[in-house]
Amino acid sequence: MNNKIEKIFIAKDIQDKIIADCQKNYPKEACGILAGKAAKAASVYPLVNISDKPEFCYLIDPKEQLKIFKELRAQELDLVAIYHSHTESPAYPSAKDLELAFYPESFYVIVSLADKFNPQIRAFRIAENNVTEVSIRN
Amino acid sequence: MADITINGKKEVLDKNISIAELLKRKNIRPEVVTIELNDNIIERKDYGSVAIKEGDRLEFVYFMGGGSIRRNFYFKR
Repeated sequence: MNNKIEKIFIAKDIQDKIIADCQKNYPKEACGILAGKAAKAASVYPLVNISDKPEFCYLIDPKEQLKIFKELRAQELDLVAIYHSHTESPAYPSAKDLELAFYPESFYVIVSLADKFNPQIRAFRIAENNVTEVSIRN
Repeated sequence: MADITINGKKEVLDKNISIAELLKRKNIRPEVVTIELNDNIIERKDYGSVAIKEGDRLEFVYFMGGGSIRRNFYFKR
């Protein structure tokens, strides 16, 4: 067993909230952020997907992003992860996810609803076009 | 010299410069950030003409986007 695999801690209730947000937005992609400390998510912020192709893209409104980031700073919380859903494809970063990954210090959480009755949630680091899967712990 | 704040952290500029110059110094591509100056979002076209002054508060946020695998589509920004 490889003990060097990085971990992100997302409590079961937070995972359930992420998946519920993704299911609520289906067939559009959902998006949001997880806030907390270091690699431990403490709260989930579902955000509005303003993409003009929301069935297969997500775009977070920079105004909403600015507002949330200020709130996090005031609460001394960090951006732990950015999440979004893939409605038809696996929970793995797409070429577009790599191209638009500008927060290498953050985790990227992806929920696949390709099987709507069995959502898959996975987490990754994305840095300089390299994808590394991260273990999700409750 | 100008004391400014970027994302809540104090920084000192050696002289008054434009937002475009600041981005260049920080090696940030203008097309991947949204910038707020003293609570007002600055249009990207104005980055070269807006000067940063003593006491200014800037917020930088990077683009957050992506999506599922459909290789023929890219964002228009």
